[in-house]
Amino acid sequence: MKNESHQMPDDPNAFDLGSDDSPQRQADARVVHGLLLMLDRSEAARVAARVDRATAAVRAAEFEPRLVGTRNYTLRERLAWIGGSIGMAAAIGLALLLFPSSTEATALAALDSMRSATRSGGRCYEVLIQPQRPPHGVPDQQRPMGASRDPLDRPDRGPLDGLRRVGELRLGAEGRWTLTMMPPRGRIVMGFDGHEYWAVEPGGTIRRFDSVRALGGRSLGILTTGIFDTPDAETEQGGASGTTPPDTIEYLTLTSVLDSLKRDYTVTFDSRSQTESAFDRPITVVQARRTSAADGRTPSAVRLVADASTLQVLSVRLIWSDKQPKGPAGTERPTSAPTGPKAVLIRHAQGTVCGETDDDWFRPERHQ
Amino acid sequence: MSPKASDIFDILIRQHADMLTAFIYSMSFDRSEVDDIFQETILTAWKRIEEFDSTRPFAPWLRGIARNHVLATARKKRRYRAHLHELLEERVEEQFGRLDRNSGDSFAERIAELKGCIAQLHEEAREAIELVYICGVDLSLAAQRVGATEETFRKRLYRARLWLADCLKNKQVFQ
Repeated sequence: MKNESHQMPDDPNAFDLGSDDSPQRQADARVVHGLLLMLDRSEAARVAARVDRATAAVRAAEFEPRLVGTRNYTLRERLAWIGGSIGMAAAIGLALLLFPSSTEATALAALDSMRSATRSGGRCYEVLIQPQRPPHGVPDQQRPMGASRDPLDRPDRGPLDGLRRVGELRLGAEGRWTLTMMPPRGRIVMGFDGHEYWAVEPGGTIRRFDSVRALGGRSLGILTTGIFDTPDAETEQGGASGTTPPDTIEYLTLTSVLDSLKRDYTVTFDSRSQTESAFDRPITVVQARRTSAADGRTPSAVRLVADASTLQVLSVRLIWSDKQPKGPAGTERPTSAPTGPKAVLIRHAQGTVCGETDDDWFRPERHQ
Repeated sequence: MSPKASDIFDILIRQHADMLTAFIYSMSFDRSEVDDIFQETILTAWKRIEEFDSTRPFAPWLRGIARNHVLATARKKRRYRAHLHELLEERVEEQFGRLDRNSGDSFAERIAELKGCIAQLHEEAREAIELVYICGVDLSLAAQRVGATEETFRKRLYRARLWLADCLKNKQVFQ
């Protein structure tokens, strides 16, 4: 029996339907067909993408029931959960379509999916920073960002008041990354090669660190003043002990942003921005506001924009509070104490901003 | 800190992803369905993981779930009768079961002999296989490129696959 309506024109398996061979023989040909398709040069990337999507959906399915516990599910939660089980992007789309102010649980699940999508690597971002104060000798001509309205309530592809491009972030597979900064005294590159953290200073010296916290302590000055300063003793000690809040460098690695938001922030969907015209595709927007009091070192608010179908992060805007960190007994900390910048924008690089990134890119020797 | 169940599941899925993809390719008639069937299989496996008997191998259990999703998709698209040939399905599962037992740490290693078999193909057949499967050229375009009608080219591919199956049997990769 040959049934043409059952055939896909580009599917070599279609011929099997009309074969007079035994089912076993046809089956063998089909298995060979399945094995041969695995030899296609682009199949490995497709398999990796399928796994990432499926595991993101698993995490979403895992997360929702745990959040609602044993209490009665609301209709909204049921729909979000069902959506999670058919795919994270579909779940988010469904929840947003039906309930413009969707649950925090679904927003948190979206963060998980964004994190999973980030882990697949192969992405490049521009890093733009607005320092708390300008570098020494540079007049402050920048208007404070968002002075007249909520700083999160702004598109990421329009005018960028006060923000200047200071570097690029490249993400590789398995959590590898590089952050290339261009402070006034020369180029500095930081990164993670899958085993250890490293920094290549402007003179070519490679420094290695066993944690991103230690690396961040060494490099904090770039972000506050635009100059690669030697850290003060307090910063270095904090970095070594790992007892301080995350430093800004950690937030620039993107994965750390997504991790910290689940711990210390209240996250919500921003349903008003789902059709933001600055992006050429449907987007998902998640906002996060810090639950504890501002300490000057961690962002007080974060806004993430992701591709609605893949949940690949398109931009992250981090806003630091103007408040200085408090010293003992509530006194203002000395102004020389390290603080975060005023704002950071990490946005997906378009076109040819970033060059070729191979595996070797994530080794420090490549950047000496 | 002990790893979460979902982390362990992630590892299992990554280990079996190539095998599962090849299995779905073998069972399905439409490549565009593969992404959805793969994801539905993984989600079903996760939801039913407590039913899995850990004394038994994971791969056949995963394939059983995938097979049900392939058939469900075929039914939805009214391909049920053409698709559902029990003997054919059993044979596909048998061959994948045999592949599970082949030596090699990864699925690619377990099917490494396939490349050797392709190299032994008659030139015309090898060209057809390489164009469609390795270079990913659309079947009708590939037929044009070698100067054959689409039907002739399709038959050529089918015969080449049968020849490869025999080669894999001779090398005891298939049974």
